[in-house]
Amino acid sequence: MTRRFSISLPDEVAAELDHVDNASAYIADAIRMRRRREATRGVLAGAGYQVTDEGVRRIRERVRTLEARRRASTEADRYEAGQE
Amino acid sequence: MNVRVVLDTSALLAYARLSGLAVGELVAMVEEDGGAALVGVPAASFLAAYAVLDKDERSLLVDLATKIDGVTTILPLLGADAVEVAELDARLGTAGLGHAIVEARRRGSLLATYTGSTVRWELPDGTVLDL
Repeated sequence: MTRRFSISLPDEVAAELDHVDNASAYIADAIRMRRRREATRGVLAGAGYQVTDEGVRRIRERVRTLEARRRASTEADRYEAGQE
Repeated sequence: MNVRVVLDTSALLAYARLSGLAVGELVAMVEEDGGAALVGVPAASFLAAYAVLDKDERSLLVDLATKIDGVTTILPLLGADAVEVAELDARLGTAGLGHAIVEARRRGSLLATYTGSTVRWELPDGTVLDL
């Protein structure tokens, strides 16, 4: 089910919608992302965690390093399997 | 389902006991990075952690696992995995760890843990995220 709205947006925000095929879907997705972020931050703050941008940046670097290493390892395994 | 990181029993306990920031940072990172990626909470790890936590700590664990739709998800223990999970738990001496290992292996996810040296008996070093 959907509801129809008439909304007003600042020019620079509305300009984003000039480049998308489906403005309604774009706005719905943005609202879902906002809700997801608020739920996440709410649960963490409610537990007493003060998550910082720096802390998130550090763990992201570590995760991406491991993921890149794993991808490289998988590709090497595939290459070796192809050579046999 | 794209599970980017699996939390084991030690990670869930640390989160619920407020004894480390890393799990919170990890959850925030997955949320910020968007997409369809999730943080996986293996059901057996959840049960094992829940059993040893006090009432307030349990509440934090339940909120983490159930109140952030689209970021965290409980991974069910399949019947076909039950024996392997039981054997891993018995061998490693940590309740719930076996399910986390099985899920990380199957899904190609990282396993986030405070017991990396134990986990590395079963998983390659490159798949273990030490918290």
